[in-house]
Amino acid sequence: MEKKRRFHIEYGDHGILYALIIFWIVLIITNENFRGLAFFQTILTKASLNAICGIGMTFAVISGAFDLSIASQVALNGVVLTLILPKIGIFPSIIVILLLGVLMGTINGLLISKLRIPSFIATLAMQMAYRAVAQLINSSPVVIDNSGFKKMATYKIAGIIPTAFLICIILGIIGTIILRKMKLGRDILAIGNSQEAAIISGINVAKTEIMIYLIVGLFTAASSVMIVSYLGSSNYGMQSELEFTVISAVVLGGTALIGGKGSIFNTIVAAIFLISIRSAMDSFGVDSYWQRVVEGVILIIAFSITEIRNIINTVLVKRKARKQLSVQKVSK
Amino acid sequence: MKLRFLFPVKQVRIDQIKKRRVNMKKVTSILLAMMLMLTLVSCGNSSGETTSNTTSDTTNDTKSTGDEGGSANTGNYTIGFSVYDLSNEYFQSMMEGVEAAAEENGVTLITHDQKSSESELVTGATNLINQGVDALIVSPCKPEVMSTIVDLAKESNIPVIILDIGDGGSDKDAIVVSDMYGGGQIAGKYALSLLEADSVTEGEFAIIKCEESAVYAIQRGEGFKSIMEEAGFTLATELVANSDTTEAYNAMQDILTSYPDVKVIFAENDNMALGAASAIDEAGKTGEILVFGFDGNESAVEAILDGTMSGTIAQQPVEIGRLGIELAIQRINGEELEFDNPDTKEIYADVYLIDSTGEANHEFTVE
Amino acid sequence: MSKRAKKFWLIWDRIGILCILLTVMIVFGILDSKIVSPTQLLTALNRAAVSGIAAAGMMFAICAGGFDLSVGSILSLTSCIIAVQLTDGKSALFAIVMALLAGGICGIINGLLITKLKIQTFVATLATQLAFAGVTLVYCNKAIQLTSKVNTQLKFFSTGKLFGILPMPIVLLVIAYVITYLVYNFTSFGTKVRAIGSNESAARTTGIKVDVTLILVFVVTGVSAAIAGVLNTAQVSIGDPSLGEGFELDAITAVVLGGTALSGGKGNVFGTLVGAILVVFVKMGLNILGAGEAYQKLAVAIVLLFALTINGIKLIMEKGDK
Repeated sequence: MEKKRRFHIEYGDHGILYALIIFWIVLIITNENFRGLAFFQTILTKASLNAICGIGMTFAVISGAFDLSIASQVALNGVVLTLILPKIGIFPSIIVILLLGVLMGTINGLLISKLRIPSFIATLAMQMAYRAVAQLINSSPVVIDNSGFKKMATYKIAGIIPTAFLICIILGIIGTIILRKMKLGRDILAIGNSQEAAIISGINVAKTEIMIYLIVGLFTAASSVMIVSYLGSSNYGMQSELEFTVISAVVLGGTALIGGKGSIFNTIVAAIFLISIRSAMDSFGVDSYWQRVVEGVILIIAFSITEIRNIINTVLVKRKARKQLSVQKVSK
Repeated sequence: MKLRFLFPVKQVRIDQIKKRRVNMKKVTSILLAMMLMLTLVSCGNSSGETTSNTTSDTTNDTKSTGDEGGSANTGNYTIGFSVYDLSNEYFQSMMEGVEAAAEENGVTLITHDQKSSESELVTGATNLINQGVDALIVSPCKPEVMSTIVDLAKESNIPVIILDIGDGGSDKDAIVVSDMYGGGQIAGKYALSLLEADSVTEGEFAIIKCEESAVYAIQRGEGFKSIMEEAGFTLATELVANSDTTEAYNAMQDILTSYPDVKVIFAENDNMALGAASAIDEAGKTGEILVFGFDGNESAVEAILDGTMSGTIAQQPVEIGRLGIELAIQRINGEELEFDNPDTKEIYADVYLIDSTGEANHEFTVE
Repeated sequence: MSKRAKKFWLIWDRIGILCILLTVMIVFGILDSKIVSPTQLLTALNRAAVSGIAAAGMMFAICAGGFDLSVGSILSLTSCIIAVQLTDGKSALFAIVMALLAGGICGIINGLLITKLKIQTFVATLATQLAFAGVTLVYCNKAIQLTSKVNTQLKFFSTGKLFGILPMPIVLLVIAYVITYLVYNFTSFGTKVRAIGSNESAARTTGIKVDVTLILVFVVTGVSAAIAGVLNTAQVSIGDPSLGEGFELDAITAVVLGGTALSGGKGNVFGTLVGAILVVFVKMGLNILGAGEAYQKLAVAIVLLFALTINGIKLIMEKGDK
């Protein structure tokens, strides 16, 4: 029995993956649209855009905080990107944007760790600030001419695997390495578990906190590049609903909001799950007003699945106990 | 700094959890998936309102545009329509037009609501293209992404018709535009006529604008400005109210503070006009200040009849919707389209004035 | 920390945000004296009433250690309910009661999700924000103009003057904050909220019915959002399903500026009121000066960061003591 228990624990929390696979199977059976490869490619591509950003956000949530400025960072990155792309070409532009993301992340990190501003508020304020700066840089939308750049998001390797998805997986692996194998990752988990304990064990909390937001900024910048490629354009008002989707994906993936544990893999799966839900609703012709209600309800069910499980658990246990008691009574 | 959310510290029975872990996970994940399917399917069946959707009978592979030989056989056509945001009255009307024309022509229609999100626009349009529609009609929330969509559609030989808003510089098959600039000018001309009737020949006017990123709607204000300034009126200020009613209400109050003698207000859409009208009403200046909007919404007409607004410019969303279907069918049949402006492939849809009687008034036009 | 510093921080806690408001007012006054004229100040207070009342309710939620992100959708919902009922011929009183009821029900739903299904407040209200918005659209998908026939009773809340001199929005604002102050400081409910916010498990151990209190907290937030919706609808004379979009951020900004700690347990009633007024004032002043919306966003962000930096300095100094 002992061995079996340990074995079970190793398999760990991958409920979201099972749910996704089952969901997809049921969709394929019940809905014609889902039988085309193209449909899944679209879902994976779109989800990857959110997921890349989610990788960074996972680090933040693990440490017990949020970064609400990601949508505005994407907008600012996008506006700058479309400005410099025609001038310096694809790869230099990407480097510049990644650096810009690091800069914004560092600013966030400094505000939060050095000035002790709570992450929620600091990133809320920076959300307004970055968006305003984006608007000041360029208030008109820009369409990209560079077809090579645009292909990045939609190109499918061997016609099957979407580039965006591949990049997402690669970045996910990098993220997981940082989280599990590097000291930085372990420090972040420790901070998420208990900040006091982390300080006592000698972790440089201030420095680690800055690194967290730097990571968020970096992955958000990567995501911005892919998003601008996908859309083929930039606009200071873009992506206003990104925080919602990304945070939902992170929490759905099982990364608890109190911090201390998390899984990048699950975040990616959850992002795919959320986009699948939307595509499914469109395919089933769910009235667009009801779509909002359905999405809200599904999120609620998904967020509370642990508790629902516990409730079922308790009910079953109670019933078992009651049966045993009645059996005992009879035998007496 | 850690945020302490409401997560109760619960004493869990370790052995219970460990024993049931894998099983419960499988069970609950199946449960979750089942619940999702149930919710989706039941909501899909109970909708039956504005969005129509059929997927079962239309897996046709006829994506070509010419080989049907110009016959009126539209029975097998599937057209996809992606719209800006169905929570907006204007687009609800456009959807009505599209649905009516689709039904009349025996075309199967698949619809998609972008909910004002540009990512949704791209994803939704991509899905429609992948579903194998014969033509794509889009009223884009962010026109600048249309190039990407049009390029994708071209790969599958799907014609793209854009309805209103703008084409973002893309190589679409056609775009039906309302003349935003001209509409603003019409409002200006009507405003001047009303002012003249009161023997007012000079003074200040103000414009309440949509958000800067709505580059096409902004033209409305520009049109109004040109007519008014030409006639000798001064522009007091232009404030951005982000198409939001409350912001326009606030902006109007601020305008009244800085420019108490302002005579005319033009808001670039009806939502904002109504907010401004309410502010004017509260200041007791209804009738002293003329308020114009743009869109021709029911709510604006009510306000006009009530006397708080002086007029609005109506577009013809239903007509534009119908036109979209007709153009799409023509392109599927491989017919050449007739443009009002062949260089930009524009087809004009009229805008017209709704004057202070609440009725359509076609006397005021632009050359 | 020296005794003087401690005293300074004590005073700052109470009236710090007020000092910031006064500074901003002085700066605006220098730039354009119209901005600080009595009529303009009254206008600012009228405007602040909407976000202020919702912020009062939000303060309870944040004190208890959570958030309510669905207040925007609740505001839209109540706006539509009022509009539909009024145009249907019902009296203003009926419409308002229905609206408040709706706010309360939304609050109960939020509370149940958080207490019975144990979902974190942030994500729970994120989901209900979406769900309530959808319900609002199903109920009413177009803006409904409230013409003078149906609007007269409701308008009283926006333009009416109590006893002939006190503008109603300000009256409502003051009443809301007086009630909030009394409830927060002098009722057992207020104590329980603070206890739960400080340390929830300890609160449970002391026998406080945490679940019931939390549900009540969200009912309070929901009802305040509903009242804000009534006021907002009265001001703009329209029922609009998108009226409350983005509203939750205004409410949260006001609470945070006011000094209520996000970790829960310490609320600042007066500060929240001043915070709401400050945000409105900054935007209004910039509007009058003709500064674009980008600058307005930047300004609010700077004010937020400034206020919180000062708070941060306090925390650093406090930490130095430990």
